Amino acid sequence: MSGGQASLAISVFLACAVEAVEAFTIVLAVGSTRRWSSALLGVAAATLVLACLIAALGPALTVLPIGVLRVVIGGLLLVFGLQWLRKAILRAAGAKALHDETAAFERESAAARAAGPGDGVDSYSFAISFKAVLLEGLEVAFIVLTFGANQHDVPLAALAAAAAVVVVTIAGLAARAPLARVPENSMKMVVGVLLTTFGIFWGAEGAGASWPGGEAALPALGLLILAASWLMVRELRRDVSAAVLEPS
Amino acid sequence: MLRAAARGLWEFVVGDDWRAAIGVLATLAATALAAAASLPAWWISPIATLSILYWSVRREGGRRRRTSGHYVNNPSPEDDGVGGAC
Repeated sequence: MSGGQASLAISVFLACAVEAVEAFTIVLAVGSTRRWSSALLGVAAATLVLACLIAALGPALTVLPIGVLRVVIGGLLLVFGLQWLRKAILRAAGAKALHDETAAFERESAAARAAGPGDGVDSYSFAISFKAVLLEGLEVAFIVLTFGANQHDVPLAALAAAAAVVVVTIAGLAARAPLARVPENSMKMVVGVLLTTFGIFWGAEGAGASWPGGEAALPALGLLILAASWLMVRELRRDVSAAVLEPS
Repeated sequence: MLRAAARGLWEFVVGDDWRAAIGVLATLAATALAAAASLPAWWISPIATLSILYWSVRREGGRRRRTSGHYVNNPSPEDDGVGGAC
């Protein structure tokens, strides 16, 4: 496996694992509170929609000229990566609440109990599970398509995503509880750094720039983004501490 | 329905900081212009991206503090729940 393929697999695996943890919490809450069969039907339907999306768009993207592909995908990855990174920095600095899987589970369970009873296929369980998997999965589908198309290896990206879902599902079934101990924010930070790094690299290359050292510039770029993010966390954390000490 | 779909697409791609998206577009345009003029262009994206990230973080941090006077006890819809980037 080349360095590019390894980066592709790691990025997709981590991004998918984070989203799968969040989707798993919701499906677990709905399934255990109401009806497992309907919740799993919702999961299957959303997975099918996502698979069709990847199967339809993947080959279409790979026929675009490489320059156009790289500048478009680089730009999209940059916009996406900056969103992931900004939120991870805010959370790491304490300026934004961490995603709490236990609280999310309690909230979803309470909402599921409050909803009226369902007959046959429980439409509530189906709809909530379908929406959770589809919305969380759309980001993963986007990352699978962009990384996969750029490396001309959509199947590897899809395989990494599927592996992440399998790992999270097995861990969740073994725990029989929301995966609250998964270091979600650290994983989101890593994914944000990777998306931003590849976004900068491919976007600039697609726009006509030549990187000194070619692909060897990628690790240096990654370290630069990581170091800058760490400095931003430190600076913001100081502001948060000052605000706690001297509330306005 | 079309409006809802367009809004969903906008929120999915651009997210809650449209200025960052505009910044990315400007960065790629500046890189393309420099490359077309046969100038070294590789350094523009890293510097511009880190600047965009820095200002985006500062802006959001400031907004959260202004809204309630402190940071973490200021939940917003994207803090938790389904949908929205990451």
